[in-house]
Amino acid sequence: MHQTRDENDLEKISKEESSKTRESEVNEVISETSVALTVSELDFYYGKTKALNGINMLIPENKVTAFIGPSGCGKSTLLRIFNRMNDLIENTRVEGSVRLKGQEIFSPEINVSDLRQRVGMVFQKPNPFPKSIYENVAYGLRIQGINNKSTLNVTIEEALRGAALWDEVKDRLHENALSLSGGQQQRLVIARAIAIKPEVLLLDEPASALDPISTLKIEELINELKNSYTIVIVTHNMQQATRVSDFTAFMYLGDLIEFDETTKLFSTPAKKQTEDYITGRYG
Amino acid sequence: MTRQTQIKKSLALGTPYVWLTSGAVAFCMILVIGVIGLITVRGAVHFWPKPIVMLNMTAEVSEERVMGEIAGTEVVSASLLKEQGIMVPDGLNSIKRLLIKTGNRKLNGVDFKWFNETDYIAGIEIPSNATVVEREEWGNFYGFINSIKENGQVIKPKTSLLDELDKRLTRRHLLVEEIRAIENSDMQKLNGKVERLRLESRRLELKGESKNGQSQLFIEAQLTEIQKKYEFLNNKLRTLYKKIQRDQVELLTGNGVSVLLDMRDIVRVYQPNNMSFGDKLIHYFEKVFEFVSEEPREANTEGGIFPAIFGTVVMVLLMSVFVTPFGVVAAVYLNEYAGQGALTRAIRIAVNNLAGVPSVVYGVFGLGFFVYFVGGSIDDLFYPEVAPAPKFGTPGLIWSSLTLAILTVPVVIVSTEEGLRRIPRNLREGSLALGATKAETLMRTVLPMATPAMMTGLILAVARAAGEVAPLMMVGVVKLAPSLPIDGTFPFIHMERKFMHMGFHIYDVGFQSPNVEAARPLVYATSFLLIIIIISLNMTAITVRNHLRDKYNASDT
Repeated sequence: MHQTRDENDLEKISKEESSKTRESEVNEVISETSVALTVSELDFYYGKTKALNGINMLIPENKVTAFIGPSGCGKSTLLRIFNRMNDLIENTRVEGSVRLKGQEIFSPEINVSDLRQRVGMVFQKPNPFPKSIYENVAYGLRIQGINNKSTLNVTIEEALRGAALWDEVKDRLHENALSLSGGQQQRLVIARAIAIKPEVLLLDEPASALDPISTLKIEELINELKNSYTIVIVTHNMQQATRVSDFTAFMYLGDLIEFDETTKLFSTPAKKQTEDYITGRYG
Repeated sequence: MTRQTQIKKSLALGTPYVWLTSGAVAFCMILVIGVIGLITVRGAVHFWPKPIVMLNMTAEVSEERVMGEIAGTEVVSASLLKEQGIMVPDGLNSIKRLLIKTGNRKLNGVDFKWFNETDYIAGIEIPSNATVVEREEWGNFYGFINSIKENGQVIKPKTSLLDELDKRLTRRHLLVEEIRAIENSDMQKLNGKVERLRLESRRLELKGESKNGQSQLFIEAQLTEIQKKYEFLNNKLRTLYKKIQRDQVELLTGNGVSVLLDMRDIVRVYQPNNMSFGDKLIHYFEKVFEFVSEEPREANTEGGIFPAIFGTVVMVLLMSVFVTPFGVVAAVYLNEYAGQGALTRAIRIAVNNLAGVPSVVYGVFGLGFFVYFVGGSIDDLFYPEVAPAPKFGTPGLIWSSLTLAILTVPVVIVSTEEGLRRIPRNLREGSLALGATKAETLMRTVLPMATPAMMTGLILAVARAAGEVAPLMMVGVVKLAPSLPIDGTFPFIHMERKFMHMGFHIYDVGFQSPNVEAARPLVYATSFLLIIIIISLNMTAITVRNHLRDKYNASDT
């Protein structure tokens, strides 16, 4: 059982080589479908602290991509870059490029509001507005200037059905959204996000504040939504990642350690760090 | 257990602190209840009809009998009286004396008089048919009804003299109402028109049109038309005045002096010693209603305070209209858009300190800036025809409201900012993530959710503004305003007019009145009413705020 130093090094080298090949493999797999987001050489700073370190990755279209990693590894930061939510935090700086369907999201021509309509986001804690259920879903549409009643009614029903909430709320659309349960609120927020038909849906630990049954419902919902949306999900829960995602990225201290198809990453991780994390040795 | 450990233990349990804190609360409550209770009792009692007493004087005093209401009692030491040269029977250390409201000011020259117990030793009576006559002028008259005269002839009524008098008083009130309608509404409107035409003609003159220009001639014609109408109204008034002068009433004073009063001067006649409890109750509510709905008479010591109530409420509402948008907009910039650096911090401190500037300083500022500078400029630019008399360049309602708005704007800014800061970040992000811009997020989510905080600011502002008097004395409040700031003459809302204010009314009646004794109960009554009005303004705002809170702040579940 005791390995010599040489053996250890040898194993490391072979692993690194295999990880390189694996990396190109996964990129090939993704390129065969189509790419929603292309991240290249992305650095991010909070003040002087570097939070992301030369990230390169491709996020496939109409698939679920999960970001896993211990707290503070930068997975939420990366997610919030995709709809430029980090712009709101003072003293931050971003370098490198992220392209949405080939279009640079940091270019001055891009309108942040338009970008956020194309890249929707759902947060960790359900955050419905203190308005009626109907008005919550209508919010993004009204922002776009859609005020036609019949259009709104159709779109709202569609969105609520899409978020598997319609049957529960159809009789009380005009009640305050805050009267819903936590799980319902989170699905309402998803409905609100998909009502404006984004291309990409970012989910930032969407089930971490919910009970197991609500979590299950959200996961089922994600499985359905991936047919029409590109989904990127940040999660702490590795079982959840295996259940819902097609691709998984493991991040650690601002580095993207490994990115692969979920089945491969969890069964035969190419890197030692990944293996340690998914087997629970640290994190 | 020793005493020391006992003390230690009770200190550890905190019992003494509970007693200390609850004691402080109790003390505050006693103070508040005491203040409100005193004002309520003193103010409310004023309208209750008091019995009329008749004092039979001893020979040393000039009058034989004195009639009036007992307004107060006092015990004075005999030595003090002796020093003043007043005779005191031997063996008495102190003497009780009564303050009597004798009324009949036209006869006696004074309303109130002190009488020593030794002077009316012969006794006190409560004559059942003693009558109080409230007049438009010269205060109350106390006496006995002797006869009623119609066109100088004594009439012999079938019912009692008091009933007959009441009947004729009703007729008098109707006539007075008619006269007031003509004088205060129709004639005032004509006066307004004449004034407008005069200004129009002056404006044309300033423009250089000759005296005989077409427009000037047209104005001339209109003026003659108005003159005709005026004559017509004047004739109507003359006949009404003739009618109202028909009746007179003859009364006897306590000493038997006969006095003839014109019915047109009489407001109310009653015999308090004859009244049942129900009568007194009716009389009481009549007086209270008069107090809140009528204009003041006799240098504000009689009648009502309606113009002051109206002025206070209109001024506070107008101030709210100015201060809320201004404070909210400033708070939004400070909290949402301004960079949070040293400069913003300095501005915030400055705003907070503004709330501590003495209000009279704001009055001086309002006079200098609003009245003389802004108002004067408006006059120069838009109303050159009114010169030399100012229209806006003189203290008035709008300047008072603006001055108080500046005085209270820090409060609104501070509480609105507090409210904006309390809105959870994830709600803002939720809105932004749906593609809303920062401005859209503000308008659709943040500001509606901050409305309860804005209302809190407004409540504090109203509470402060309604009680302010000092700055108002410089920028628009007067002792007696000839007309309300809102009335039936074009353009209906006269923001440049001077107005009456309850706070100033209290000061004026209490300290500037020629008849302090008579005015004192009114000070309490007005204070009581002012408190009620501030409380009801606040309660309205609090109700609105709680409603808004229910609507928006249920998110902390």
